[in-house]
Amino acid sequence: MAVSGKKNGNFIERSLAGALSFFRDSVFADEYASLNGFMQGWDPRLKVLSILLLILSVQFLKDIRNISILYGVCLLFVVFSKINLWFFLKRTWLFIPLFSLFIAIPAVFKIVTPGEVFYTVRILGIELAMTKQGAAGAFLFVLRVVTSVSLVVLLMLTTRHSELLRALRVLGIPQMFVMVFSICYRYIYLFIEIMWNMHLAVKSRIGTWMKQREGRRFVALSIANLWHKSYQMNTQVYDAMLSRGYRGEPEILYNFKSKTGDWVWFGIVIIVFAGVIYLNYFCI
Amino acid sequence: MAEDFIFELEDIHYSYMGKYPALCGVTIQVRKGEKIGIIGPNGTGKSTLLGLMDGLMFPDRGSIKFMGLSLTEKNLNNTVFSGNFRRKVGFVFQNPDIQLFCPTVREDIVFGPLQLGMDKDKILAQMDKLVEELDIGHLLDRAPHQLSIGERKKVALSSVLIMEPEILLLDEPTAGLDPLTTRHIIDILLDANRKGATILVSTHDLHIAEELSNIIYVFNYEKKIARSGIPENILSDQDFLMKHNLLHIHSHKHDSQTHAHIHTHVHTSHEEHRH
Repeated sequence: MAVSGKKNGNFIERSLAGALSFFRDSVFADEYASLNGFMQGWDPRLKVLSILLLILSVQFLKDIRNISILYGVCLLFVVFSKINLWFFLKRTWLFIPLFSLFIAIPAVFKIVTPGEVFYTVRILGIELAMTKQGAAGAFLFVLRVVTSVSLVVLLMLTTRHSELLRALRVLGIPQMFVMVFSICYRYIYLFIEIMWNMHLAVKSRIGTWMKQREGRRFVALSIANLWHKSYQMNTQVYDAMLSRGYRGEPEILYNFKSKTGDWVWFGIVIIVFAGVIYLNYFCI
Repeated sequence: MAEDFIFELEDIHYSYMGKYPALCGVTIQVRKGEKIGIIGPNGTGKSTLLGLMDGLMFPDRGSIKFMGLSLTEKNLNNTVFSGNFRRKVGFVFQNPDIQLFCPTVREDIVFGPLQLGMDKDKILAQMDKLVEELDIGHLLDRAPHQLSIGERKKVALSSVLIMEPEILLLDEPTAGLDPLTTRHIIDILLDANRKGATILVSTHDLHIAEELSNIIYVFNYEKKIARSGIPENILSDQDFLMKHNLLHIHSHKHDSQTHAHIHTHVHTSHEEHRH
């Protein structure tokens, strides 16, 4: 995709390209789910429950070493599931863990967390002492966030998005919501593509550069156009559903099959979770 | 005899928002096992007619009967009538992106029978058979947006064929497809017809009209039926086709001379083809 040198006029192209690339990445990520790796073959329902229990375990654990072990296990699963480790780390360390790191930084200092000072920095003539307790607390917080995010990303990468949506039924999510989410997931790609083609159609007529004001106008018109298209399509899709016998209560195919291995894995996760609860409440 | 007819449409009038007429006095009767071609230029009400026949909208005036029973909103609200009607009538929409609304091809194919309460094992067995016939087994776990237009059309068709409908309503089933995929889809439809399905195809492509019809209805810009009859009679009447914007004119080169001629759609004998 050609990107114009005039950065200011290209905010539309950059935003659209960003959105498109996000969705392409998501399609690419769905390809990981079709690999014959360690976690891909598990029953999605048990996988969702297992990951949920592991995330809860991470929240209960207070020892950095224990959480580190869980994070290490998660990374091992990434490798065994044939997922590129660098791709996984980029996905998991972007945004949320970095953001939580910024939140945790004040906790390192003595003003917030009193304790044994191990280092002092001078910022704008003010001496700020860092405490061991504060650093440990901040590290624990970031580690919890990164491990939880990693477990969720691992679940998403090893499970087809469509299966993941259907597997959410085990958490008691109503069938209607699953159906609506599925349809949204299906059509978001179509609308992004329409938006991108609209942008290319404008670009082919007026060139690569657009004034900020014109750009905003284009975005507003595109939003209106897309809304109109989606409204029209909404009626037609509903007709297509009616035509195939839909009567207001969707029936969805649940063809999940759990193997002995899935139950063994789920059993191990339950034991880990029970162990964590025991450590937390009975071994203090 | 009235019971011979699957559909009886009598003096159908329909307008969008009450002011844009789409059909003005259309009368059609469909018998079991027929192949009916609805042809006409764009904007003559062909898709509207199929929508009405599928019970997705209802006429302003006139009546539609399905197997002797009125196809009304009230009757379609009846679970038994509606289930029976939906099981028997399959509608393939012109735009496969509308028809394929599930996240994967597999879910789209089984959607219809699941809603109609068919047995799950039977559905899956039927799906396996169908995907083999249509050669789309490799697409089952893919998302519809990852498919080519030809693949989407095939999947849309299979999502209807899996219900084994007795009547197939098809809106431009081959529009925008390459010649080989067009051929494949025509063969699938002809096969369904041989097995007993009644076919109603709306198209403005005369290439497929002759093959997929015993009877052709030509719609005009007055949103009426301009003429109906057997394909041989209609497709050989060049003045009539020209008048209704349905004539294909080919332009090509002989040596350095550009030459244009009318492309007829009437089947010629193989003897004639040799010359």
